[in-house]
Amino acid sequence: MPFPSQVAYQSAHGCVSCDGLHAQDGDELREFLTGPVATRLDDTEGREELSSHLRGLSLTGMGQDALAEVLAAEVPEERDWAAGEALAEAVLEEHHDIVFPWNTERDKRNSFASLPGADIIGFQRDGDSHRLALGEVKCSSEAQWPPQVMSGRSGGIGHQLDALTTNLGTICQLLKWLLHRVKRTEHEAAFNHACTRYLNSGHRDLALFGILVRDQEAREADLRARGRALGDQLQAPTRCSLIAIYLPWPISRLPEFIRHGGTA
Amino acid sequence: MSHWLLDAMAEKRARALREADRVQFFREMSRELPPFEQEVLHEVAAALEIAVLDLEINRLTDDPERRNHVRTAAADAFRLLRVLPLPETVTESGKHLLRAASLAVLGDRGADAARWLRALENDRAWPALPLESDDWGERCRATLTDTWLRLVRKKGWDDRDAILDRVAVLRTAQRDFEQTYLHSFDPLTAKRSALELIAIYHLAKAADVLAHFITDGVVDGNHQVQQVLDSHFDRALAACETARLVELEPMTRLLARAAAQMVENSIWTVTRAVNSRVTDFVRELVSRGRGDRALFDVLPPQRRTLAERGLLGSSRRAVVVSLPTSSGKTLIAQFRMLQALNQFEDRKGWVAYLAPSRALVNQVTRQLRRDLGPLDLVVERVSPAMEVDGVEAGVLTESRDEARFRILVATPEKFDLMLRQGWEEKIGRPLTLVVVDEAHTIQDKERGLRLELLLATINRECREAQFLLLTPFIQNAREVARWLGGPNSDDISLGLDWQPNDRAIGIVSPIDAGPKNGRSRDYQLNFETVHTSRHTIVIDDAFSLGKEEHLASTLSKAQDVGTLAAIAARKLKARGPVIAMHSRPDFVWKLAENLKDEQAEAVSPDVQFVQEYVAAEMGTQFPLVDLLSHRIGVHHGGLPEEVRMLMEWLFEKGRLDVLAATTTIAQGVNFPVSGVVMAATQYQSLGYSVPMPAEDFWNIAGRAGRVSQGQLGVVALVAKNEAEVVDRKQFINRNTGDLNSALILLAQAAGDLMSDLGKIVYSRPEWSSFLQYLTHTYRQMGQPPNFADQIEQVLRGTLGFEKLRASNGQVARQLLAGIETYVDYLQSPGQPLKLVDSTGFSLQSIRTVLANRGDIGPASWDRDRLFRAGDRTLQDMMGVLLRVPELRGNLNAVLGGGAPDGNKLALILKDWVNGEELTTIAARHFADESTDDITALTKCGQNLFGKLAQTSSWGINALLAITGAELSDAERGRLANLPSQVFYGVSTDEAVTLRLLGVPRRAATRLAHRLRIRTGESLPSIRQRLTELADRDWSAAVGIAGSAYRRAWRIIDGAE
Repeated sequence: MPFPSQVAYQSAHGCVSCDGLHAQDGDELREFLTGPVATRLDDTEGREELSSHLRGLSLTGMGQDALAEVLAAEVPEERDWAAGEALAEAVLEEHHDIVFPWNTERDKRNSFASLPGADIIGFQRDGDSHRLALGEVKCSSEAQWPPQVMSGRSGGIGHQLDALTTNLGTICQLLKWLLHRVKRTEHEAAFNHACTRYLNSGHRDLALFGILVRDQEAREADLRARGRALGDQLQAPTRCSLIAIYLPWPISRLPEFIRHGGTA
Repeated sequence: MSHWLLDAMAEKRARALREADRVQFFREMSRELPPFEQEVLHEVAAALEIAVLDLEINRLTDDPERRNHVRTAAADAFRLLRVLPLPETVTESGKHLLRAASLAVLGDRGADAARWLRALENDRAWPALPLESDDWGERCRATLTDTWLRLVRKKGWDDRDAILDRVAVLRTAQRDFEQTYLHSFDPLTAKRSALELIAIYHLAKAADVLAHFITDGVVDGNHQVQQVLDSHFDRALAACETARLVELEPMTRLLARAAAQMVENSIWTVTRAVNSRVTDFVRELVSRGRGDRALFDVLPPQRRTLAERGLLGSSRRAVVVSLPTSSGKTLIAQFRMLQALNQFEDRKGWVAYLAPSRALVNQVTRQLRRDLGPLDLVVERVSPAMEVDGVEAGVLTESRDEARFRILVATPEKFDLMLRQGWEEKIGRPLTLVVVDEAHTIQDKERGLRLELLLATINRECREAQFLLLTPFIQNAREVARWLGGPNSDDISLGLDWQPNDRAIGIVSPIDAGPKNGRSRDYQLNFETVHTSRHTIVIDDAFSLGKEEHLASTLSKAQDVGTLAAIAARKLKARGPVIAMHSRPDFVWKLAENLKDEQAEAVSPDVQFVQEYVAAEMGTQFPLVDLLSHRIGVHHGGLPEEVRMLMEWLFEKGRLDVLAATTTIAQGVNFPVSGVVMAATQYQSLGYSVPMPAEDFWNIAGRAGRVSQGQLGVVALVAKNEAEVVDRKQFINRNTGDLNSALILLAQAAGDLMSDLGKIVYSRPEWSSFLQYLTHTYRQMGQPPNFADQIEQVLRGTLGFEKLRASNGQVARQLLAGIETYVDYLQSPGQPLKLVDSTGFSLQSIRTVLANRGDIGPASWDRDRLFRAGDRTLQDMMGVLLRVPELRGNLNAVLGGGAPDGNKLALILKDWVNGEELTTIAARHFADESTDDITALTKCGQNLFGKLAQTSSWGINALLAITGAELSDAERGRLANLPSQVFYGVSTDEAVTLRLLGVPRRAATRLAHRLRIRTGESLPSIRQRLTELADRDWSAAVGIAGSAYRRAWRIIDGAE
């Protein structure tokens, strides 16, 4: 199901492309959100049975009281970030040929979903092969173009994408971790391709995505400066796409739209 | 099988490994580290680690190819990670080390990792992990890293104790810190942190379990430790998966695999359920003083031999274990011996351990006594003297259970003589196992055939005997095993895929460095690594060793191998102890002098005592005394055996920087060295030189490395010019191939001479053992009239004959024809066949003695008169022995190629037996106007210890057997120690006994007097009394150097 949107602006700087997308309000958007996006979110969040991990702990000679207490505690829901990432994943899947190795209930975006290193991990189809796809997602309602999340020193999208191109250790760690997730699944071949291409290319053969979710007016300034800077810095075969998604309603309503199509 | 990632990365992997080799080489050889491509190393290391994680091993299936992929990928990843600089933060450093160490274990490089980690601690580079942190998470992560690193490092019992301690501390501190820590987070992060802690607690418990298992072989009464570990790892992984712990989860998977490998490597696992004696032995090895020498793991070749190939579970009659040097073959043999002894416990069966040289017999005896003594197994050795003297006879026939030997160490020659003299029967207990150390000597041109025929004889005559042959890697181990055991045999061969440590083998040669002054040219020394058939480090560029102005100021002066070797050794010694070899003792002396620094160093008490000993033995002016002040030792055949042993002892203890030695040391080195420098690649013997066999070269090359902190063994062959460079390269690249019988070579070389085997010994004395074999077998079979018809069957018992027939039928037929004629000769009436077995001579040699004996008869055998000045008897005897083909070569060599002169030999022997000082014997018999004292002493040593004592003792024993048949038993008894007197150079029975116990010659006679040894007193009792003697007792015997002699003896005896 395509993401109903219109191109607001488009530009390219070397291997970096910048795309502004207006989300088109209407039934299609609602269906997109309650369909492909919603399936990425796990509704059972916060109610997981974690106490089973205490079983067997007595064999280690360690106490369990404090652990049991923490594992049983109620967690207030904080879903904005997860909603943004779920939207970003769904858009990438539709428009950029990305597959995500999360195909079991266990792998849904649960309370522990966010991984250190990258918000988004997947494989981008490239003919018969796949390349590693990594992305950072930011949401911003700031009435400033670009918003601070595009440039902040640490935690800004620019900095994070930069880290993904230089920090071999983090990505290798992710690959090692992913290995067992994809083993004997439909994603195994994609992983193998992506892993090989990444490690055999001086860690350059990968696709990077910076996704900005906005509820402000669409302006090219949101991406332009960052796009140029990255364009000067990155070289093929690295590919980089900066994508700004402009929502027709406040970002804070995104979880609600995803769950109930905005009618709740 | 291929692997998606390994295949794709193959080229890059090779490049990264070359780069890692280069870095390691430079890091070890020079202070400056070259810039290098760290990124590639990181990438390839990550790729290899991913491949290792991807190639899961199913423990229940056997997939050698898959295992091999894992092993090599993990080992390579370790090599890469090892050379990368440690990350800046302590925590990251710890993780890096743990990754590398776990991969090393999976790559069968655990021992390297352990050395590396120990070296880091010595260099103060061990990460100061926050084990006491108030941040509970940090503290737990630090404990996890620390305990698992210690499991790999295994520094004696200390590391094991520290692991148990750290885990216990974690348990007690949990209450104080955990809650505060968890409450410092938001609820969601707290959950994740709690799951991380749960995973860490299970991993800490797993470390605790493994630490217990390594020392005790059992955990809480459970021997199935793997299942216990699995349950903890599974729970840790479950927690990691739920919490999506991106770092801890893959690390846990790696640790789980490494832990399983460590269990497999444990000495408990490989020896489980063999028998109680083996278990006792393992307990002994593990607990050994709770010190650094405790043994927890076996090396990969040992694991493969003992566990995977099931050496201890098998009932194979003949097993050939063919492994590279430093694979720990001795331990393998020890386990096999215990198994064989257990099998024949009811009949008190015994094991014969055959070692090719006197030095090795001594070394092995010391080691076996040290290792097996605590199990109350008596280990004895017999001297290499070619007779069984009175003391030895006592040892062999000891009847008290607690004092009876169960393991006997001997040279093949001596053991051959013993068996042929019926000693297995006299011992009265079955020979259950024959261990042949360095079994590749079977192809030695001079001594190999005797060993082969000895094994054939044992195989034929000793009903219960099983065989264990230990060799460096050979191609045809199976063939050799089948020769002795038929279908009931096995070979356990491990080729070139495992090496004990990294090595660089290369050539040092002088390079023109431009004009210097006048017409002379400047130079510098380059070390150029050489590709070898084994995994040695190769770097693309030559490495400069610089120059030494005072040894060679110009290029032309540097073009001398001795000088080059001295410069190279001086450069290399900064890294650790070096052996520098040259072909001849005189060259070795010069090399040693060139190694000296201008200023002597303050010497340690160990060196001081050896100096004192050498001064007493050889005179204060003997150059070795001064060389020792410079931390330089000398080792060659011209030195008394005790001095050589002390050199080895000092060297092993790290008290010497360089040991200058003749190339022959390559056969006997069984201790690690950091570097080896070879000025020559030849052995010099009896005046001609032969190339060092490839096995011996790889023996010494295999010892290079593994000293203290160094990882890299460096072997440098020096070459003075291009032609020599080419020559040395060829030398290095000779392959060790099939183990072949010396019989094939002998037969091919003899050609038509084989038509008269009766005469052949006169021109080819090396045929003697073959002829003796025929004679012995003929007698043993009851002298059957149709022996000629059975000869082919007899010959099938040898390794060589079948191969000869297959490879060269013509020569085989010639040999058979020759044998048939010889059998006729054997069967002619009145042949003194029995004497062949009692003398170790061929029939022809016995006839020669009989024909030339002159007046020598029963009356000649008067012990007191024989060595008296002016008496001619000994001179006559030596005159006869000079005609015996088996002895002639050695005896003539003593005479320096002059006319056969029995008188001269007799005079030397008289001085020797009557206790003259070595310096006196040298001055009297080996000096002339053209030689200095040192040359004379060296010559004296080479001839006396290396040739005359051994050969004349054999000869006199044989002569006594041939000419003393009419002596009464009582008279014979009195003469029993006569050949040993000659062998050891002492004049009394009591002194012979002490010599057999290792007491130096100068001290033996007077010390024996002081000890008042009783007739018939047992050897263990005398040894006990010796150990109780104080310095003053020794001083009373040898003067002021008494304490030095006492200590020397303790070292020789293995007490130190």
